[in-house]
Amino acid sequence: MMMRSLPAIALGLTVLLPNAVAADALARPTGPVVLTISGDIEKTNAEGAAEFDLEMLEALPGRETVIDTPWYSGTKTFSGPLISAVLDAVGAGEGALKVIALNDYTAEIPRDDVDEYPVILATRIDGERMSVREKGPSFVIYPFDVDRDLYSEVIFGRSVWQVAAIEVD
Amino acid sequence: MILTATSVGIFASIVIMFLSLEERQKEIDAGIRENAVWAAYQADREAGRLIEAIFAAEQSPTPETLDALLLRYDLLYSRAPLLSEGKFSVAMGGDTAIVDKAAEVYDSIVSLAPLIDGVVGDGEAFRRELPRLREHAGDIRERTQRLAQIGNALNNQARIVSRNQVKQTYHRIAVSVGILTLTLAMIVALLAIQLRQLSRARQKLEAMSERNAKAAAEAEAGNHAKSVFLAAMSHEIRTPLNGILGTAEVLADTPLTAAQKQRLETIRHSGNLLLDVISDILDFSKLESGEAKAEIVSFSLADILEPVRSIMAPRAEAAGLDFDIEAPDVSITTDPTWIRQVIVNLVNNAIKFTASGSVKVAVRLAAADRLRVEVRDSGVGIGKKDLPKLFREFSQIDAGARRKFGGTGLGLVICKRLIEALDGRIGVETSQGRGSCFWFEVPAAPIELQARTPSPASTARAGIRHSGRVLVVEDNAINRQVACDLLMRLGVDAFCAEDGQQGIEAVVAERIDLVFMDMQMPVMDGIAATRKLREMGFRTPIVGLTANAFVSDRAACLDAGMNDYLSKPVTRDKLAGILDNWLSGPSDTAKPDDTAPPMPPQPNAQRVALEAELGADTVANLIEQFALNARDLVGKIRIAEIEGDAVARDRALHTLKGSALTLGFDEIARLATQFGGDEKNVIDRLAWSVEAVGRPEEVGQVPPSDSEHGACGSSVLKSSAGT
Repeated sequence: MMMRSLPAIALGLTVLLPNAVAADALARPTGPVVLTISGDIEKTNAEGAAEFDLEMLEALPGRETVIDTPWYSGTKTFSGPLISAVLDAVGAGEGALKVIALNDYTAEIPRDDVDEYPVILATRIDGERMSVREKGPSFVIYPFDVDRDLYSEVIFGRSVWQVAAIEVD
Repeated sequence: MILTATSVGIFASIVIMFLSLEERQKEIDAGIRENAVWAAYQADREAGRLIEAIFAAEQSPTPETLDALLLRYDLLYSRAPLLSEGKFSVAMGGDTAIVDKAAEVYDSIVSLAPLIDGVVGDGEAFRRELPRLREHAGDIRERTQRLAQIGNALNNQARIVSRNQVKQTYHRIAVSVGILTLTLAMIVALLAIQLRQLSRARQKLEAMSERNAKAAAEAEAGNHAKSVFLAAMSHEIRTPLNGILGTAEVLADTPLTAAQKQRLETIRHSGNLLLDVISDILDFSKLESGEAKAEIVSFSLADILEPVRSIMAPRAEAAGLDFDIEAPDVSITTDPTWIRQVIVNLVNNAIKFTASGSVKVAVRLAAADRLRVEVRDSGVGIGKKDLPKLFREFSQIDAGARRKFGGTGLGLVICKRLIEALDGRIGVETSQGRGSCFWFEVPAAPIELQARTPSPASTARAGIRHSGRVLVVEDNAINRQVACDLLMRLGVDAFCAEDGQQGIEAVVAERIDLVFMDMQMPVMDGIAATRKLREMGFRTPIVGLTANAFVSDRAACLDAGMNDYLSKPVTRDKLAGILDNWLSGPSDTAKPDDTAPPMPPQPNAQRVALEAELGADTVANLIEQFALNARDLVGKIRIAEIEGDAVARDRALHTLKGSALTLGFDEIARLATQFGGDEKNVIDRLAWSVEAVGRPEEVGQVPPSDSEHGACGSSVLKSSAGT
């Protein structure tokens, strides 16, 4: 079921996004596009945007965050690239981030959050990739293990799952 | 105390409440999760979107619309676990109804998966199944709506409950804090009140001690003033009283009718009572003011007991009581005056309160160094309830006794003070109707046994005739007169002077054997006069007359060179005692120190003849006249002698001789004739003889007032003062 849904999303996304001009330093995704970054960025691989497939994301510097969350029962291990690494990869400016989910849920993340904390864009839970039904393909995970104060409603609101795009102000 | 306990209790409860609040907060922290209601709404919204996607696919069943439908279902599916997991049920307060509903929603969402998964990739089948999918999605939507509504309602309820709980907790805390604040305020107020009370108490104490010190100083000053006043008053009263009593004594020696004698006795008795009262008050005030000091000396017990016997035996006899003193022959060491005073006082009391029977004084040694004196009577005794009053100031056991016996009620108090001042004890053993035994004990070491010596025949003293020339220096006319009269009764030649200056002149001018010197006098007081006389080389014995008998006064007397002192009032006994000590021995034959005895003028044949002719009354009148004239003449003779006026002297002698012969006073006549050789001696004897004419035993009808001219010789001295 999961395996089936991924191509479906990839397909959907491919349909939605027109063919982009390849940017200089950013490779084109080879798999289904799971994340599109737009706005104040220097590097692109599509028209005005940078597109990523899971391979590309997982190639970036990342982190394993082992935490309890309100969305799952029990402790889970989340892993994926640091958002700061993703932003570096696209040469993002200093503006805040607007994270948009598949269901159009949007949350604003201040740049300080990703600069100060190792916030990741988790692509795996307990080592497994996440389908849309499992809140995939990526999930903004704050390091509750680093700072317990982060465990709050405000941060829960910024913890976007089924991330589809990021806009850099 | 209660406040402190209350505040501690309240504080503890507040701490506990805060802890529980903290616990609650932790629960809330732990329970922070995505809002369950929000999850339900999200699910509901996704379900709605799914239905929209299905409608869109039905109208135009393209691969895009089908993909969109698929994404919608996946999104809805991703939300399903949030509703089924345990945390949802916890967030909803464990309400089973909603948990069941949520489980139903989950089941209905998940149960759609096989259908969708079965048609994915098969566009035709997908399209065919769209109505079923719509129906199923509608069912999901219905359930999610219900879930959202119930969740919202529950959430609202939970919010209210939680808010109320918090409100209650805060209310309780507020109340507790309020009470605690109130308690603290009360504690602070109490402390403030206590502090104020403390400071007020301290101020009060300070003020009180200040007042007390002031009051004490005032009381002391007042007491001192009172004592001084009492001493002065009693002195002032005693002086005239002395005059009254002395005069009465003199009067008693004159022939009187029975009625007169009785009245005179009343005067003397009253006077003596008054004197006792005044003496008591004076003693008491002296003791109060602390001026009286014990004079501890060694003396023979007999020395104080004999006077007691001589004074008290007649009184006891007069009251019809047996009186006896038993005492060992010892010499003891304490204050003799005080011991005697106490014994006299106790005996006096015993005599007063004993109607019949006996009063006995028993003296013995209670220990090797303690003297015990018991005064036992056979009187009415004293009831138990009256005992505490006995030694108290101004109390007599009943008012009747006071009326009957008089007195100040100070006697026993004075005794107690005196004995206590001597470190002794005083007490009484008694019972109503059985008599009393008043006793006291004083330390009297060293006590020495004495060989029994015949006690001085004090009772015989009255009969002793003294001889000598005695000068009384005294400014008070009455005292002077009384002293002179008494001295003359004792057989001596008395001379008077009004102040120290005159006294010195008299001693210089006359042959004086003994001087009684008053202390306080105008011009020159007794001390100064004594000093001067001693400086001038006179060795004549001088006896001070002290008014208040203070120790300091006596010391001053002796310091100034006096040989003795005598405390006023002057009585016959006191004077006799002094004369015994300081004149050259009693002489029953009453002769001056030369060979020629001044014979008491005897009426001779001439007198008898005269009386036969003129009658006894006429002769008595003549003698009275003669007594006056003769004294005047003796005075003139003295003046003339001092002034060296032989003519005047001879004329006076001549006159005197003539009168004496006429009235049969041969001795006087002989002396007047004899004048010339040893003039001084002769004139003294002449004066003595002339003086004797005034004596009642001699002349009979001569009133005592007449004696004041010649015998005292004051006129002589007065005129001699001029030279």
